[in-house]
Amino acid sequence: MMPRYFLKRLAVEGFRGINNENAPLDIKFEPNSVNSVFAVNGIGKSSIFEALCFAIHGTIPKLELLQAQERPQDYYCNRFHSKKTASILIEFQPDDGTSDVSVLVVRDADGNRTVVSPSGHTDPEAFLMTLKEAFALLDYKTFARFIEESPLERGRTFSALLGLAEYSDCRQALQSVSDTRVLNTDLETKVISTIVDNAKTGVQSALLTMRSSYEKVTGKPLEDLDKLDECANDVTTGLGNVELLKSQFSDKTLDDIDFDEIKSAIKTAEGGEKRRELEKTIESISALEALAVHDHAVVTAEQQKIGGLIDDLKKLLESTRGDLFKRLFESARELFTKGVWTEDKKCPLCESELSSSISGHVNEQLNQYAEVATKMSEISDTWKSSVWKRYLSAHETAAPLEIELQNRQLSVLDRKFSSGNVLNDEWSEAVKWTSSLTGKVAEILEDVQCRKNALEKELPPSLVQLTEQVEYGRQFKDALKLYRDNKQKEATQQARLDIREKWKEFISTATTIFANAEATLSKARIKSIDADYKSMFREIMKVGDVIPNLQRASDREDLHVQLSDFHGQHKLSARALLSESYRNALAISVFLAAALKHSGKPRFVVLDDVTSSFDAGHQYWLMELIRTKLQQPLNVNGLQFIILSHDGLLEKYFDRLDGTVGWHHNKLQGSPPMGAILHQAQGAERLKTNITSLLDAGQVTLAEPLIRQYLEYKLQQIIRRVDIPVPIDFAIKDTKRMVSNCLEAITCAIELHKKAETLVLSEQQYVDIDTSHVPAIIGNWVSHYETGSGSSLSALVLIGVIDSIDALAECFKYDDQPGDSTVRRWYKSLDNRTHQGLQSRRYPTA
Amino acid sequence: MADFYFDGNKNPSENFKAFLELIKADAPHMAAILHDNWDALVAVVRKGQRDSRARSEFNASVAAALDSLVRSDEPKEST
Repeated sequence: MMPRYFLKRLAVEGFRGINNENAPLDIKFEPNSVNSVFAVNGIGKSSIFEALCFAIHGTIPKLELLQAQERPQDYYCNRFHSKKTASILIEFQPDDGTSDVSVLVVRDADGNRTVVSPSGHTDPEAFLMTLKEAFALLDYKTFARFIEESPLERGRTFSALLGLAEYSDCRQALQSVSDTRVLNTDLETKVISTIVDNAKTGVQSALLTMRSSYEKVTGKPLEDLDKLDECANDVTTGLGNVELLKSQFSDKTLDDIDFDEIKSAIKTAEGGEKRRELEKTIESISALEALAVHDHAVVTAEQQKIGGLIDDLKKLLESTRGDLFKRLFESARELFTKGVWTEDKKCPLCESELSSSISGHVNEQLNQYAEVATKMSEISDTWKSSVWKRYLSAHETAAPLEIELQNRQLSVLDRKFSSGNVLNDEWSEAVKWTSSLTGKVAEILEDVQCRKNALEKELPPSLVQLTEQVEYGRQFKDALKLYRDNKQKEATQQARLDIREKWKEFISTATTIFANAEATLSKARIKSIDADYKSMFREIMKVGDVIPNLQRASDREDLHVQLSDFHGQHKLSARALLSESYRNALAISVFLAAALKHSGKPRFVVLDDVTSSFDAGHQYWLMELIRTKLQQPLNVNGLQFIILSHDGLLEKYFDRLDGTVGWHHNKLQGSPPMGAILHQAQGAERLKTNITSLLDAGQVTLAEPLIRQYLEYKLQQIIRRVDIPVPIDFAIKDTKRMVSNCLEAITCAIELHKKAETLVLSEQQYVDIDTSHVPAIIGNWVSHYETGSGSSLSALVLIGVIDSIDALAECFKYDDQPGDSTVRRWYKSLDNRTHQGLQSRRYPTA
Repeated sequence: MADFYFDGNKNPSENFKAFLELIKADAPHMAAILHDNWDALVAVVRKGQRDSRARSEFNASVAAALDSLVRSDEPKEST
């Protein structure tokens, strides 16, 4: 079993809102605890989430959405970091006890990303790739999108979430490459098919010539095509028997015979123009007779078929309304399919009420356009594979017809008919042109036959016969070669065609098998989380009569969200009925249920501000669900949760649980994007060191704002730690008076408990607070700096203020002796020393 | 058509391998071509986005393999 990984530490410098030059923001996470990270707005909490995104996914979704001219590449590194270099160090702890893995991701000023492993992992980039799971980094937008997006998009998101994204992509890829139209184009099956047809025609044409010339040379019909070598010998023997030709034919095969040489010999022996004309006439007759290989009846039938298709096309075009309307209907259909327009009885343009379905109307219109395209494609395909086209080609190029290049019409007709967009008049012209060529063949053939007869009568019979025999011999030789070449070509190309058909069948079957397996797996995964997400939804929202239900379409990736029960009503739209908080709860439930079932490498989930739509109650129930049921090791198969939040109410919950078993809290503060961001322990100590250094150097003015920051931090820490109630407008009152506001809240709460005799502080602590520490802070800070009337105090006095605030904080702690050692702990409240008592008093059980 | 199911306990690579093994049984030569071009196939759709150039490249590679198969003297199987 391969280990899965917890997130143990994150150190960031120079990335997005985190400057922290030479002092990285360093946050440690505990694998066995829920880890909360709180920061008020603008302190860089989102930068932490983005740092993890960038390290693991290589991108930041927010920047991915920017347009090129906005130069998204300029916003990865912190804009105030002097080196413009971002570094993100992440430590991962495996769940099998093996060694930690640390990975350092750096993005330099030129945008280059480098990944190294300080712990010595051999391939840290590949390691990060294994953590690229859809459930590991989740934000509010992800959840909001899940319910809002179209069923198809939701299905894709869900596939990724269930660890099925690769299956989904692969299925779509198989479907893409097995599409018949695409395959015919990519595998050039039509081109090859045309080559095969042409080769077949070439074979037939050659055969016609062979039969005719063989019979004329040998006096017998050519019958057995399997014995063509013998036939060739017959021709050679037949011609070799003529006395004048004996020397040319003796001991030679047909292939060896040079007919031009023989003709030249005859010309030398008995020259004359008429003999040459006779030769030419015979050649013409053969060429014209060879045209008969194209069956005219087939051509006529094809002409009628294409004519009919053109009539159909014309009628279909009359029912459509041009390209502009087509684009309008396509845009409208997109609105419906993406779920942007859901009111099917209302026009999306003018919003008038309709008596019939608008989507039905749009589909009907688009179907008409589709029928036009299909008809045009049918015309094109019929033409391309037609004998008619080959008939025209053979006739226009037949030498005896003497059609000048500029008078040939096939190239123009081919462009027109191949486009499928042909008018009746153009078809008529093509038919007329074909008929004229046919007529011309008959006319010329009759003429040359007459001329041949006349020449035969004029020339001496022996010469006529000799010339004819030699010419027929040459024709047989040429036709035999043509026959064999075309036979070979036909066989080769037919084999290419056959194997492509086998591939089409194979890839189609493979796609079906894959798609069925993927659908089955997807349904099984949905079923496996069904009870969990429904239970989580119930836990968070505390409702029993609103039950969501996810359903995947059987033949598509679409995922539908329904309500199987809505206060007694059934099968209703979740999108239509659920409020934002319910939608959010549903999405969170689905994502967390899926994350728990996932066996991917990350064993952590980072949630960035996912409770924005929840009120305090639902926030609490979600946190309790995570804490008590989903976090490992309480749940042995659970995950490590890291929760980023800016919510003040939630922070009180985090703060109260901090330090208890199973909870680890970090609070961020600082001054981004120019200054540093520090978590609370890291920040307070550093702040105090800086103050001391400045005061030691006599730089009072520079130290004053830091002292104020330190005082505010320590006083708010006391308020949080001992649960001192503050007015509802505490956080938004004049922030310049925050120190006195805090002191007032603390002293009032102490007086209240003192009078009620419930104060847990010792008498000495009470006296020190009342007579020493609070008066010192008021006298030496508040009265000077909050009124604005006082001048700066000396460094010595200000050091005394720092000592007083530290001493004041100590008054809210006690010595705990769990064993031999003594531990200094915070009182849990002004009337309660320990956490346990507080817990049972404040929270209902989950 | 053969019954085939992906194993929910296996990762995609293992399941894809099992799929290729299954289809090899009926059409080894065709399956070999698909196997050899699997990376090119995966490039056709990434994160739900189709890449028509990758599709053409895949089919061109398949066509070349099919022609090579025709030229060879190996026996041709039926799918």
